[in-house]
Amino acid sequence: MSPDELQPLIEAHLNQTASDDQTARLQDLLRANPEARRIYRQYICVESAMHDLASAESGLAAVHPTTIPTHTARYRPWMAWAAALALLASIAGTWFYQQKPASPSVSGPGIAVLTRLVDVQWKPGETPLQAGSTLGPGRIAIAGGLAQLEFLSGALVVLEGPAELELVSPERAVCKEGRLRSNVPPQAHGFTVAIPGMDVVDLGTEFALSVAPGSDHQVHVLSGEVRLQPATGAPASLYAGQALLLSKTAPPSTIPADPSAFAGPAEIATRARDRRGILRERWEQERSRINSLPGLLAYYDFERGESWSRILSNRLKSPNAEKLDGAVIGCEWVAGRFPGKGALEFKRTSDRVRVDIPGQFQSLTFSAWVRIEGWDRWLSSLLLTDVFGTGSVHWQLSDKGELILGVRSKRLENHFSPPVISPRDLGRWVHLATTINQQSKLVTHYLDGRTVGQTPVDQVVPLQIGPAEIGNWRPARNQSQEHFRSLNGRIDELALFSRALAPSEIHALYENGLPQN
Amino acid sequence: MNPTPRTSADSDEHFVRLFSQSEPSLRAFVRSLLPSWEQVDEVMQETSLVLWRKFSQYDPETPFLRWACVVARFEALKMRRRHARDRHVFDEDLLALLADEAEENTDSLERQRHALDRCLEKLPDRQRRLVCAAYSDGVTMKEVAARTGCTPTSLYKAVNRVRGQLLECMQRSLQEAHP
Repeated sequence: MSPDELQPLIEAHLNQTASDDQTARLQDLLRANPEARRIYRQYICVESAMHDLASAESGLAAVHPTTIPTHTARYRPWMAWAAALALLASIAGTWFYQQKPASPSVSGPGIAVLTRLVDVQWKPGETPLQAGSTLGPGRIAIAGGLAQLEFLSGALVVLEGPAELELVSPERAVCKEGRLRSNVPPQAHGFTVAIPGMDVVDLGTEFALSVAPGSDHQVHVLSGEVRLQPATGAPASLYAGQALLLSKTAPPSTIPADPSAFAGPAEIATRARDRRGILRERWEQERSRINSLPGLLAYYDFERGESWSRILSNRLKSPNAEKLDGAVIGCEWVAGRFPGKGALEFKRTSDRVRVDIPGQFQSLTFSAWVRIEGWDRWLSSLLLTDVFGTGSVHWQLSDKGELILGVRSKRLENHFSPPVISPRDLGRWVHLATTINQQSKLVTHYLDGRTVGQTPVDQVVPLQIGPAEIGNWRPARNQSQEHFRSLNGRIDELALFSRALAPSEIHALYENGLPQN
Repeated sequence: MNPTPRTSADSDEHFVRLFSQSEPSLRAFVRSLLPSWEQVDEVMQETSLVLWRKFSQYDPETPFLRWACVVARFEALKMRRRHARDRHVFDEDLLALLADEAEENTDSLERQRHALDRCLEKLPDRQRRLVCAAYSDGVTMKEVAARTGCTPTSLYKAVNRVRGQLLECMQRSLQEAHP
């Protein structure tokens, strides 16, 4: 037994989110292993302490035998609401009270958009972020490379690793380490970067700074004016061409500013162009890896053909590969996950790709890289079969951000994930995958390589695709208004497998396909 | 040694004192056997009634918590049978094993609780509010998440994080106390 396995099982049990399998596995571990039981008891103790804290603070009387009423007023709606309101604040704020702030949360209010990443290596333990992500309060910590952040106040910051920046608000960030160059338009006057010992307040300029923990800090004003507000003492101004050197060993002094020492947006653009070849090569490796995965049924890499090309090529190496080619209707060829990668844009209600995938399957995997731009209607198609007869599958998204796999068996079974694609995920490349395994009778949904939902399969049927559409739907029978299910967004990779891929395989598809670096 | 209760009022007062001292640890004991706080609350109520009724049989030479655990275990088992189809419920053999071990370890249960109380005092305000919201009675975490507009996943994550920190704090302070 490893603690790594035990901990999530206990957490799921306590949160009452454990699946049957997880509960069974937890019980096995507890039965077999006294150490597991000891850890379990510790968790229970913590859990009880948290529960008791909540009861005490909400003023609920503890169970008190001599004063037990005949019925306990346990549910007090106003209390839950007050607590819920407090929670909003606490989730957003939890980060600040930890010794190490967590990665910027994807829920909570937005502070900045991470617009570009070049050569970025993440510090150990950091969850890699993607270009296009909207960041909430929290920390961005890189070991190397360049990251461009556009704060919602209008300030633009280029961070050069190794660096650690904590996002506090659209007007404020804390630089704990690293080099940073900031461009502040008039709208964002007052944008502040805190460094150890002082606030650097921008008055509409371009400035740069470097923070080396335990050594020297520097503030360079490249144009305009910056106000320095020390933690103690009077503020001072610094003007274009001046730089302040804060040394551990000597009193503060001014030196000439050096714009060439700090990478800015132009540098990012240049380096991004240089990276194209490397990205391309990496992606080609990944493409041949996918092509060798067992059970691959059809593989569309959305490599841009000629602009007039109306064929979406199936890259699966098989004798009849071209029979699985898609016919492009309407869609424009556009840029994909990284510069040089092709994609198709689905915009108009008529845009679609028609495919015909024969065969009957016990299990299936759908995997796609998609950039959703918005929810035009209740349902958005990823892959929908024309006919929705016995065994037909409908892979689509709801406007709440749910992944849905519909399967027609004796009755219609719709397998929903929880709403996982948030409004902030619109406009960035996400990896979506769904597997249906009719041996284990489970449908599993994945977002960005992680399991986000699992539902049981009730009726087992042979699955089939046949004539179908990517990004749209042409129902064989016109039933209702619902037949408008066109996608608003881009797709740049779609793979189908005749088996349910394991979570680790889905994670690899995400990890290797990540659009940065 | 505890004085033998004489009058009914004395006895009540004595019981209440013993019970409230043991209550947090007893609740933790019940929680280790049952999958939800709702079930735990019900069992706690039943248990406290039974304990009160049988208080005259309590041997003051033995620890009160140990005695209470025996009663609570019986009540928890009854509850388990009623909810046998709840998919988060543990099998009876495992419950027996957990209960046996916990009854033998009531001392460490109380030590852990004591350490945790100090950890809770140090909990920052925002995390305290998070805990209060997530554990408010009568609502599930899913409902809390829905009301605040955050996803259940992010709520669970935040709660898991607090749990992890408290666990670490508890382990640390127990180590310091018993090197």
